[in-house]
Amino acid sequence: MTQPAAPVEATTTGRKPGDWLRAPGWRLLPMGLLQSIVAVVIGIVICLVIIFLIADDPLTAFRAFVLGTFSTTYAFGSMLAVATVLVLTALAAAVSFRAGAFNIGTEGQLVLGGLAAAVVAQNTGMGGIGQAAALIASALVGALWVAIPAWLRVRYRTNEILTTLMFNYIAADLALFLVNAYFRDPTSGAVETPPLDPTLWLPRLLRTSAANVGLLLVIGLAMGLWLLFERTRTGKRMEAAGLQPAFAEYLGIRSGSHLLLSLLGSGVLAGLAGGIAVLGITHAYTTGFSPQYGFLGITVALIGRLKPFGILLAALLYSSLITGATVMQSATDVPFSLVFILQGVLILLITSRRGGVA
Amino acid sequence: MTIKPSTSALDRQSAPALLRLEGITKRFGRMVAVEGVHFDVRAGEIHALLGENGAGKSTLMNCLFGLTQPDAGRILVNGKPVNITSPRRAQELGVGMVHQHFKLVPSMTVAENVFLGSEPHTGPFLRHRAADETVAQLAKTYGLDLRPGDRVGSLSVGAQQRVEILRALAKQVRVLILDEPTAVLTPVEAERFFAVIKGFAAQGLAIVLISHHLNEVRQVADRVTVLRRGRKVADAPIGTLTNRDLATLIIGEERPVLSEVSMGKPGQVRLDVAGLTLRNGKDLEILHGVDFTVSTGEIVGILGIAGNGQTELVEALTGLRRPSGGRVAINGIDVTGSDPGTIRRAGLGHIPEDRIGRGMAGYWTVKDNIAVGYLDTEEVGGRLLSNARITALVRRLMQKFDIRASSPEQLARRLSGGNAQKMVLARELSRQPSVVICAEPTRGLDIAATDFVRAELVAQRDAGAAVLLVSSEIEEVTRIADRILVISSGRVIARYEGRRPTEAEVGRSMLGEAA
Repeated sequence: MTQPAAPVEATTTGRKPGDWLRAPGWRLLPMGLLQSIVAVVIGIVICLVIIFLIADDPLTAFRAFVLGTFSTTYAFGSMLAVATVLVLTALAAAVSFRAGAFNIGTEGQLVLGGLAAAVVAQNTGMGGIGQAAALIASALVGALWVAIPAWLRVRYRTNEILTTLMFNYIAADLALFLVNAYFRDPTSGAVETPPLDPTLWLPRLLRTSAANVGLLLVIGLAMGLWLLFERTRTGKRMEAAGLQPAFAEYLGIRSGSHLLLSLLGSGVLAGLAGGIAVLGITHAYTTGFSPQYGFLGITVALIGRLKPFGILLAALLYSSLITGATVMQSATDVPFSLVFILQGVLILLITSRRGGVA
Repeated sequence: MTIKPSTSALDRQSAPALLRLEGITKRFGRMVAVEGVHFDVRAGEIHALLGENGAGKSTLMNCLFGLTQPDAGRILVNGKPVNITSPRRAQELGVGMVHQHFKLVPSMTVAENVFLGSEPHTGPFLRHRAADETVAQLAKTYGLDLRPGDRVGSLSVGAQQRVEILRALAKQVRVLILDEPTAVLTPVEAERFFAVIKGFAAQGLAIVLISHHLNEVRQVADRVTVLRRGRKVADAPIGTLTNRDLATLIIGEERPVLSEVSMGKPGQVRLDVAGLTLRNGKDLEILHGVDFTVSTGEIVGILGIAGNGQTELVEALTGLRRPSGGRVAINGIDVTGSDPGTIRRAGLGHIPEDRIGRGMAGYWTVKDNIAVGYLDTEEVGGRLLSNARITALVRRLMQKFDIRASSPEQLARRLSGGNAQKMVLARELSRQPSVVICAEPTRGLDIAATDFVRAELVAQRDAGAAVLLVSSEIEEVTRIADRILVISSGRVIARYEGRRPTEAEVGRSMLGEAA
C-alpha cells in the first residue's frame, strides 16, 4: 500500500465550524473571589484619583465618597434601600448568565415592572392586598417584557444580548408614553403617577430612611436561589447548559427550555426589583426612578461571581459607594456620575482574564 | 552549521546540541511536575520524548516553548543560555511547536493561517500573492501537500496538521516540537507524516517527537528520552532498547498486559440498526443504509479511516444528529431520531469522541462532572441534592475507576487525558447501561490508561452490556472486538464474525482493497 487513499481523504471533514463558537458561559462563571476583590480595590483607587484631580476640596470629597453612607441614619437607610433593589437586579442577571443567556435588558424589565406596580397598587385595595397585587404585577410584567427576546432566542437563535439591550430603550419610551397618555398625575409638572397612599408603601425598617421590608424579601429570594443553583437538579442542569452547550446536549439536557425558563425567571426578578423600588423608595412611578439599577445589577452580579451570597455582599458594597457618591455630590463639586466610571472600570477588570485570549 | 542532507548517525552523535535543557525543575503548588531534567536535541536528529500522561512531557515542552517558566535549570540554544519568556521569543530563537490541539482559524485560508500575525505587507496593504507564493514554495520544499488558497475549515485533520507545521516552518525554526502528532491521523496519513518529518531531519532540523506509540517512535526516532513522574529515566539511541524495555521504563514496573481477550458470549439483541441513512447540511449522503446489531455480551467494532461516516453514525445513534432514514432500536424501543435524553433513558451509555468538548465540562469539578450523570437517581440526594451523598458517590467511583485527582473538587480541565477519560467512563459505565457506544475511547491516552479503558469495556461486555466500539485504531478493534465491521465512505464494506482477523487483513479492507 504505497498510494495514499486520496478519495477517502477528500471526504474527510474537519471540525464543524459551529463548534468553535459554542463556548459562552465559562467566560464568566468560574473566576475567583480574588479577582473581584482586586477589581473593587483598583476601581475605588481610580475613583479616588479622579476625585483628587477634579475636586476643589479632595479631602472632603474622599471622606464623603467612602464614609458618606455611614454618616447619618438616613444615608445608611438609603444604602440599604438601594442595595435591596440592586440585589434583585443582580440576581436577575445571575439567573440568566448562569444558564448561558445574557439578559442585558433588566433595566427595561425593571422600568415596566415599576410602572405596573404603581398602576396596580393605585387601582386595587389599600394595604397588604394592594402591595401583593402590585408586586405580583411587576414580576409578571418583567417576565412578559423579556418573553419576546427569549422567544426570539429559542425559536430563531436571535442574539439575546442585542435584543434585550434594545428592549431597554423601547421600554423607556413605552413607559413614557403610557404615563403621559393614561396614568399621569395631573397635579404634577413631572411625568409621574400620582403618589401612592402610605398604606401601600413597603413598611420601613429604619425610621426616616428608605430602608424597607423589601430587604428581607430579597434576602429570602437570595437564599432560595442559592438552593436552586447549588441544591437542585434543575440548577445543575441549567449550569451545564450555560457552561458548555455541547456537553449539555450530549447529556440529554434540553438547553432550549432551560434557556427560556432562566430568561423568564430573570425577567420576574428584574420586574420585581422595579416594584420594590416604587413601593419602597419613590412611592410613585417617576420617570428616571431608576438610576440604572438594571445595569448596575449586572456589575454587582459579576462582582458577586453570580453566586447569591456573593451578590448580597457586592450589592451592599456597591450601594454604599452609590450612596457615598450622592452624599459627595451634595457636599462637594464632584458629580454622581463618578459611579458610572467605577462601573465601567469594574466590568473591564472583572471580565478580563490573565493572558488575554484563552 | 554545515550538515549535509545525508548526515549519518555517527555525525549526529558528534554534532553540537542545537538545543539543550539543563536541570529543569517545575512545580505546581506542592506537585513537582518536572524535576532536574536534562534534555538535548541535535541538528538532523529526531529525538522522541516518551512518558505516561502526567509524566511531565508537556510541562517540559511548555518550559521550552515559553508557555511557562521553569523554577530551576537553564535552557541553551546553540550553546548560549537563553530566557524564553513567550512563544514568540521561542520562535525568534528558532523553536517551533505543533500542538496536539490545533490553533487554527477555520474560516481563513491556509496562507492566511500560516502568516497570521506576521503577514507580508507593503505599508498598510497585505501582499496576498506574496503570502500565497511563499506558502506554495515552502510546501514544495518540505513535501507538504497543501494549497495556499484552501479554507482550513474544509481540510482534513491531517491537512490541518500540515498547516500547523508549515506555520512553524515559515518562522524559520531550527527545532520543531511535535506533540502527539499522530493522535489525530489515520494510519495512511501517519505514514505520510513520518516520511515528511524524516525529510525535515535530513534538511538539518532538530525534531522533538512526543508520542505514546512505541512502534511509531521506533520507526522514525534516532534517540529516545523517557520521563517517569517528572524525572528522566532513560536517554539512549533507540536501537539499544527493545519495546519491552521502553514499556518498562515508561510504566515503571511490569504490568500484566491485557491478556488475549476471550471471545464474548452474545445473547439477545440490544442495539438494532437497520437501513440507517444520513444526510449532512449540504444534502450529501454520509451514511448509505447501515445495518447491524449488537447483542448483550459482545463487543462489535466499527473500524474505518477517520472521516468515513463513523462520527456521524455515532451521532445518529446517540441522538445528537437526526438520521434521514432507517431505524434504530435500543432494547426493542424505537429511538430513531429521538433526543439524547430519551435514548439515554432507553439504556445508553455514551463515551464520545470529543472528550473535551462533549464528554465533560472542563470548568466543572470532577464531582459535578460525574454527579450530573446521576441526576435522575436518589444517589445524589432526595428532593434536594445532598453534598454528602454526591461526595460519597464520587469518591467511590474515583476509586473504582482509578481517577487520580487531588480531590473531587478539582476542575476537570486540570486532569490529564487518561484521568479525564476515566472520569467519563465513571459517569457513563458505572450505571451499567445495557448499550455502550464508545468512539475513539483511547485516543491520546497513555499505555496504562489505554489498558484500563479496554479492560473496562471488556468487563462491561462480560457483565452483559452490548458494546459498540467505533475506532480508527486497528490494533484496538482487533484486540477486543468480537465482531468487526469495516466502514468506508458511509457503507459497511466488510464484516468479520466468529474470529478475530489479523491487523493486516482488516487494514487492507479499510484501505479499500478486497477483503
